[in-house]
Amino acid sequence: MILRKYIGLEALFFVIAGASIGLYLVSYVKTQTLQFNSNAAFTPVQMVTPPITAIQKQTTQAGQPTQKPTPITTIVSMTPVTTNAISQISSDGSQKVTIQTVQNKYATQTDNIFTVNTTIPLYSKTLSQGESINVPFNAWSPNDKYFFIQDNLSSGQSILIFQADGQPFTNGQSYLNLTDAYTKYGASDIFDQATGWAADNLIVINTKLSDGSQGKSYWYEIPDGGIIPLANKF
Amino acid sequence: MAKKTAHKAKKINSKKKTGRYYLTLSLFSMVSCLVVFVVGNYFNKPQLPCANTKTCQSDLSQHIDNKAIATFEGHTITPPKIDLAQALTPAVLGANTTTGEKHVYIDLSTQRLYAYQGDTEYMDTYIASGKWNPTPVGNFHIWEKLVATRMAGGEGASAYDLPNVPYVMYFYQDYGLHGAYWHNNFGHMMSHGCVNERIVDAKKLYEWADLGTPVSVCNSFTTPNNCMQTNPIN
Repeated sequence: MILRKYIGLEALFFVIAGASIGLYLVSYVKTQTLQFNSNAAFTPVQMVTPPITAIQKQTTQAGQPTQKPTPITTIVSMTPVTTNAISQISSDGSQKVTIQTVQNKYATQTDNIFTVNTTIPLYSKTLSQGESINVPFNAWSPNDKYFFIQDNLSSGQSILIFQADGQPFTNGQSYLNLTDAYTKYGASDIFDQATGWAADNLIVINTKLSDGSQGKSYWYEIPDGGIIPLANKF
Repeated sequence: MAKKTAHKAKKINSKKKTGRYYLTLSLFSMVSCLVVFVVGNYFNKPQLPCANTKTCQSDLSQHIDNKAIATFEGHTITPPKIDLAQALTPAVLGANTTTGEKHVYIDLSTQRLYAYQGDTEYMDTYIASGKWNPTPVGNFHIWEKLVATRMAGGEGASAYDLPNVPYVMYFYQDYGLHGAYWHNNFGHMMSHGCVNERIVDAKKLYEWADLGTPVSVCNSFTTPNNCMQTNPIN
């Protein structure tokens, strides 16, 4: 009887020892996972809700980021009356594209596109009332070699891609037209917007379906002009 | 004589039984260890996987390699060269006259970042949050600041290896705010869980924020301080 009790205790000891090793391994794994979570080093601060004065919220077109433009107004003495300029810097701040707008007579305006490398406009367009040219927040390619602008004309929207140095592309064109390339590609999804750059030479295209829901996403490849359908939606 | 033989046989049999018995006990012990380990890990698993699965631990220290080549989404990229002597703008004494607690808010619904000091807005810009891995919603603190480090992870076609990721500020495990040189698609989800910023924005925020500055990741945020969080992790 005593021997049996002794053996039972011994078995229990073995099981507890095994369980203890298991617990130790669990806690060891946990320590390894959390050792970089050094939030504990700081005294937890409650969510502070400072009495912040409301600021005027910038209204942007949904999904099409644009940087808050800093209008520079200068009075010129020639027939064109005023000149406004909006610009967009590249991610590292080393490049800048500027749209200089000259107000003409008869309610038209001429938009001229410059970069820091160019003294003559890379692109110039006279726009009627209601038409505009935008330079998106994500205009610059990550390597600062290309940028794109968005023409909003009465005939429709166009995305035009330029080289930062002002040189034409290998096919001799001064810019590539993304929307034309997408139309020629013949996808059933409706072009919605060019959101930005997925890589140095790839622009992300978002589309929509006829019911208004989001369609497939595509890449537009530069300078080849190829359209590549994607598995992911951006 | 017969009694003696029987006693001897019993003794031998007992010895045999003891050896098998201890073997069984050891087996039980190992099984209990395994059960505790598996069950413990099941209930003790970390809430989120690492943002950068291959460099989860190693990217938590400064790592600069100006000769390395980066890869992202199957593309090869030349990372920016990091010069520690020029990476940061020298601080000017008395330049910052704003007082109050600093706080960074991330709005996942609009993909924007807001930085406040007291009631003064310091920054408002577009970011790119987690697409392949969600950015954790919750209230955190910046626990580490690195001028640059390497981040790598993913598998197969979505594998990435990014040396010299600039201006990194970790706020939860290896989830951080940092500059992104491999894409320019801010305002859209584009990361593996971190909060990507333009390099100029990342630098500006890095120089402004301190270790311990609160970071709130919100499902939606409305100025001045309304951070909506659904199922925050802390």
